[in-house]
Amino acid sequence: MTDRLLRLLTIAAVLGLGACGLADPSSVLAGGVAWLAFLLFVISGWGYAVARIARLEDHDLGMRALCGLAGYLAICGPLLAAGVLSRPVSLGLVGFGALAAAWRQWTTADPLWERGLDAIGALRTRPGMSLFVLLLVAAVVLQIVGAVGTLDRNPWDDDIAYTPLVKRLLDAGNLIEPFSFRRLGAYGGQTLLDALAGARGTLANVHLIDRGLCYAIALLLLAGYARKLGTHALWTAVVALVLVLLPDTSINTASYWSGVAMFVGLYRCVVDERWALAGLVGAAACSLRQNYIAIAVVFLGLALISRLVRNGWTAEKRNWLLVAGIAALVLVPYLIAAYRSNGTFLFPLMEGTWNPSVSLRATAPTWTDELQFLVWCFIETHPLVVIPSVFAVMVFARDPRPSRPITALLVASTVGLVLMVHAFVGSDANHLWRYAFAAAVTLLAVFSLEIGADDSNARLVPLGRWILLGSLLLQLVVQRETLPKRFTGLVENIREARHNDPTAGAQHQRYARLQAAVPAGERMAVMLDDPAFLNFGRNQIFNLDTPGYASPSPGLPAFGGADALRAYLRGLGIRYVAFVRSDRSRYFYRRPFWVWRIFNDAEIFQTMSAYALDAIDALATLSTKTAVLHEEDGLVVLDLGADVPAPPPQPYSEVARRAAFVRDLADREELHDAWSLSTRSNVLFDDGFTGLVFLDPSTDDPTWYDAFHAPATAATRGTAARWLYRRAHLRVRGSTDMHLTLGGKVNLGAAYTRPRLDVMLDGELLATVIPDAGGRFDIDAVVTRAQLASGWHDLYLVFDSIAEPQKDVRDQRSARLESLEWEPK
Amino acid sequence: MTPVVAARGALGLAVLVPWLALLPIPGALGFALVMLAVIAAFAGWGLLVARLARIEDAPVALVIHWGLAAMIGLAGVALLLHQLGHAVQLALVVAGMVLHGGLLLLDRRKHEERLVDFLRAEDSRFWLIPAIALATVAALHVLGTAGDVISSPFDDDGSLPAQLHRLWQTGTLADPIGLARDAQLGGNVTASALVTALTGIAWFRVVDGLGFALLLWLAITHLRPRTATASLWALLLVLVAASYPAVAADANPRWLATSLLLALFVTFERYAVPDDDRELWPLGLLAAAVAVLRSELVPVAIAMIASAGVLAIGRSGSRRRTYALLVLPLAAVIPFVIARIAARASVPAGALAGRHGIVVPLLIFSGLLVIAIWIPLVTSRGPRRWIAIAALLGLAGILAQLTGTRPYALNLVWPILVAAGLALGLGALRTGTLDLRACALVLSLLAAVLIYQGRDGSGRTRWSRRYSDLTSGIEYLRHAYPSTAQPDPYAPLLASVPEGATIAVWVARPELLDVRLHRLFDLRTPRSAARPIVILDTLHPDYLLVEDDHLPAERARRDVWFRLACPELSMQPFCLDDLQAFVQKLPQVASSGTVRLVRVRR
Repeated sequence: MTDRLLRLLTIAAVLGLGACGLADPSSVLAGGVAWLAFLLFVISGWGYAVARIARLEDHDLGMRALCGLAGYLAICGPLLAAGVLSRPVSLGLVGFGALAAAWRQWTTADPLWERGLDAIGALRTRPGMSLFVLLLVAAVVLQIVGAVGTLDRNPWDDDIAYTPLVKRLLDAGNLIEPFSFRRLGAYGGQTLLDALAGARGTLANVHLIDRGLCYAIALLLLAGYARKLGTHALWTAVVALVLVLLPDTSINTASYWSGVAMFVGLYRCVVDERWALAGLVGAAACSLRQNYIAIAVVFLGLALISRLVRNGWTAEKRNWLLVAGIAALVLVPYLIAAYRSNGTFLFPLMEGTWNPSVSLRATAPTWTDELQFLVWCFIETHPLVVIPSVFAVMVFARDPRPSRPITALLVASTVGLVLMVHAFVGSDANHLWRYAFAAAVTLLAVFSLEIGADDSNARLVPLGRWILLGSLLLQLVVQRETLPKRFTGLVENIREARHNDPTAGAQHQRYARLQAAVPAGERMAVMLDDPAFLNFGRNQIFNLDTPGYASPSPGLPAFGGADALRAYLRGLGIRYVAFVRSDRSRYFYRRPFWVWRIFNDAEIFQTMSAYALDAIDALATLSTKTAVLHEEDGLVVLDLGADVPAPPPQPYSEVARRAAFVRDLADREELHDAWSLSTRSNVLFDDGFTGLVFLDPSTDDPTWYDAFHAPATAATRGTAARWLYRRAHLRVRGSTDMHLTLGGKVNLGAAYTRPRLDVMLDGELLATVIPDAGGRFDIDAVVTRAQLASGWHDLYLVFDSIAEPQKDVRDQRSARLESLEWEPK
Repeated sequence: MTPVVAARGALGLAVLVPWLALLPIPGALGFALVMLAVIAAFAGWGLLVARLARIEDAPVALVIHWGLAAMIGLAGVALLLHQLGHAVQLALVVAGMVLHGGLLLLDRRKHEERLVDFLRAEDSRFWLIPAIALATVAALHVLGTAGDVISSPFDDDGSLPAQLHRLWQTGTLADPIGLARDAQLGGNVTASALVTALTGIAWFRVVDGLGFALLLWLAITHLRPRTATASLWALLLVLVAASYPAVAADANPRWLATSLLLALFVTFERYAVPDDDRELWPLGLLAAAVAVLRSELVPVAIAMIASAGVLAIGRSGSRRRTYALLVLPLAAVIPFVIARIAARASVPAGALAGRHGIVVPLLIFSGLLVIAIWIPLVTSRGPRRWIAIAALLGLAGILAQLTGTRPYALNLVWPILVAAGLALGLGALRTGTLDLRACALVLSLLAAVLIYQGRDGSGRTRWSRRYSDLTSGIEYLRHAYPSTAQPDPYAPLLASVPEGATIAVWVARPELLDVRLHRLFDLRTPRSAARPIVILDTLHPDYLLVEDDHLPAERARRDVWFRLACPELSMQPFCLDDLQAFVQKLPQVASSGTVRLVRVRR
């Protein structure tokens, strides 16, 4: 009788938490935490349902919740493809999960209240260990509560795309965003999970899912696995500490810990040889992030191949069919939804609405560029700094199990990293490790737990165990530096969250007034800082996201002027456009921001800047040519009109128009020299230079007695320059005779010499110059068409004695390039 | 594929691949093939040494070092005879390649059997992972270092590319001022010449990258990874070496010196107590190569030879053994010594005034060293003890000089420490002398910390930055230097100077000067020669060729008053250094840009 009563009380308490979350959506902290606890219950209920359907034994809580996540994503796929996954449907699915969880609590032999009593009992029998676990749990709870209370969103990703996608899903039940670059690059699984947080009626808890729910599930999964393996307490404690105190690398609400949870779950499925479940979880992982696909496919493929080699096709056929069949069943609806939205289900292999004139890779990278990036990524691992030494140990681990899960996961993670390096040459290592976070954390955690088990499945020589333990301890030592700031930030977030979201109400009203200017049911395109405040159910809204990167056929006419844009939008049946004026934009659509980036950032962002500036300028022009229906605080609604003349023909390719636009922009902004020092269609600044700077006469030509403090903010106008190392390398191309002129200065106050400068093209000396008495040097040379045959050519600038061997050449400001023109003769 | 077929294939590749270097393949692949050819040449001479010494069980990595030592020894003789021009350098390399192919074919059954045994052995697979790691790191270092331009071309004795150029053109090193040979007997220049004979002088920095690769190869061979634990150690060794934050500041032979020292120690450990006296020959050759490479290493070389002598005491045929020990080292070192003496004798003593070099203290020190080893130690307790003693003596030799007026290069401590540490530590690991159970966690933690330290370094010492620079260096292999010979920028100025005239030069790129037409002395020797003005007063050259360079910058950094009074190339009399003031007083013959030719002898 007592048991029944306690079970009932448990169920009532959890349902009460859900009710609290729903009742007061504006409560960021209390409501958010209550909803999170309720969601864990709900998801475990989904997991229970999946286990019953698959006729599996009841798992530990982590595995149950993971199955629940995967099952939820599997059910949501068809609803998304059908475009009916709106808030009421989401709440219905939540309700189903709650019912399933309640049913389990009512019928299980292992009810929650008994687990609670066990924990209290453990406090008495093993006080030391219990105290450690309590402290660890407290740290986890603090992080989860802090995540729930964190209102900060990434204005680059979350504000303009990820959160609006969640809002669209809740309002309209679909994710049809043909203009969205970010929708194009993902199947939407993470958005579906994020919608679980938004379903209670607020989008304030943007980190509730990944850094809250999924973080908890990942830790529970690993704890359950450690328990199952019988991992030694010391190893478990060290691994737990590493994970709990791991620096937070998530810069947005994309998949981080949800990926960890999925990969740990997938690994456990393979270890347990639950192939149907592996197909389900693998497919769910693929829906979260595009780069998870390679890892999941290679991991499952290798595991199955290992078994195939050992057991033969007849014995393994069923497993292959189960994995492939269930994965296909889960993924196909997502592919359909992606195709409906962007005309592709396999981006980037199939481009869909992607702009073919844009590339995410650097222009014409050489194999040494790729090698350089690969080496950089292998060394600069983040946040797990000990990956090189751990990797060395992992390659020596032998896994006698038929599916060799450790080897398979190691190879899959490595392949995933190499593919990303290939896809993102020109990016930086930290970005790549953000994408590789899930696989790296999973690999380190499960490997450590396996090795730390008394009766380990994985075989490793004792030395390897020591190195692994040493590496984990080192990781702890290194990451301790970030702890004070991180936990202080969490506490501050919690403190702020008690006052809820102070600006949400006002913003909501501003956006509501903006939307009210557009007739209900009409199509509208938006380029706004916070589209998530719009009602996606009232109008068919197209979020321009990062303008120019994705658009339906015939493609957004970038660099074609305002009229072409107007004609294009009208051609798609879009009559209304809402945008934020550049001078009132909070972040993404600020014109000066992009003008700075176009000459100061990596090539990928230079390209992005051109499109953003073009869109900003085109909409500003349109606002002078068309009817302005609404303008308030920089938020503008335009009526493009019913009759629009046919779009003017575009005389050149988009790439050529983009190049002309950038040059014209530089001239208009009086930044021609900055443009001349930037990578462009026929000049690539490869290595041997600093980034672009604007000279500050008070600091950039110092004499020895000058003492100064560098200004807090670098100049953004003035004489443009790139500081030169001893040897600098450009690549150039041309289809006719080309005229090379370059000029710069040797800083005699620092170099005390006038070094000879040799300029060579493909090893042929073009010119040699010695700086004049003031240090200035100028080169003027003609390169013939014959010298420029077939593609890119290497142009080297080599000083004979600029470097001080005892000093880092990158710290020396001995010589600089102030302009480089490469024009047809 | 059966092991026999695989072994035959591998042998065939070993014979053929080096010759691919003769094909005109551009870029990194072509350069890599040339480096393989150079290694094959070392191996060829090494195989000859092994054959003559009747040693059959030597590992390939060790044989390669013997070959390098033998080539340095032969090159010394050619240097003495003024015959070490480019043709002879090439001949030595090509002869090595021929020897490599020929001896492999001649002894193909023996090599084939060894390879087949290796491939069939169950424990051979433990080589695989360290070998892959080694090949990757070695390729990056060798190719990347070649394309580097940041480290100074000057070592303690002068401009290395200038001396290589002089050797290339004249076959000898007749400039005792430009190559004062206080810090070396010419071994570094000679080794660099042999390595760059096929590539061209512009890539002279590849020598140390090659040294790094050979060092790691030898270290792993010494460890002999035939268990999972040893293999893991080997992999860690590669990782630690790769992450070690070493940045070359000048053309000092750091890794090449370390590699030769390790080869010396390993050879000593394996063959110091030989069955046949001839087995001592490689030891002698290596000791000689080490001795001529850098003067700081001479005590180590002498100590090793002396130690081998100690081990011979009381055994039958000890006198014969002593001859075997001494003949080759002396034969290899003496030509370098004579060439040095001859070069120094070719100029008035005053030009070298104040620089007595280190020969005298070195000889005294070495004599004491031999006595110290021979008198108290009559019986041996194993070769590693002698290696430790030799290393300590080498370190003591360097440290003892610190109080003198001309200290040894302190950074040469590092090669001795690393080589001795590897020889002793890896040997102990391999033989089980080191109790791993007792120190595994400490060593593991140390390895992890070392790797992390490399990753977390700052500036150019940071691991990722160093490797980023190395990959940039590979990119530069394509054509960072003019594909055709660079024009001699000084030739127009020197055109009016009569052939055979004596010219003192202070120019930024001495490696472009044509040293065949005139008697040139390079004044820009950082440490070993007298002050330029003293040389000029003593040498009485006919002309002086001077070019602005970065040295005023160095002076400005060190001298606050100079900075205060002489900003930006001021030509005020009080701003000029001795040489500039000297030039101001002399009639100018010709000038071009920042280069001036003045007449000294009226």
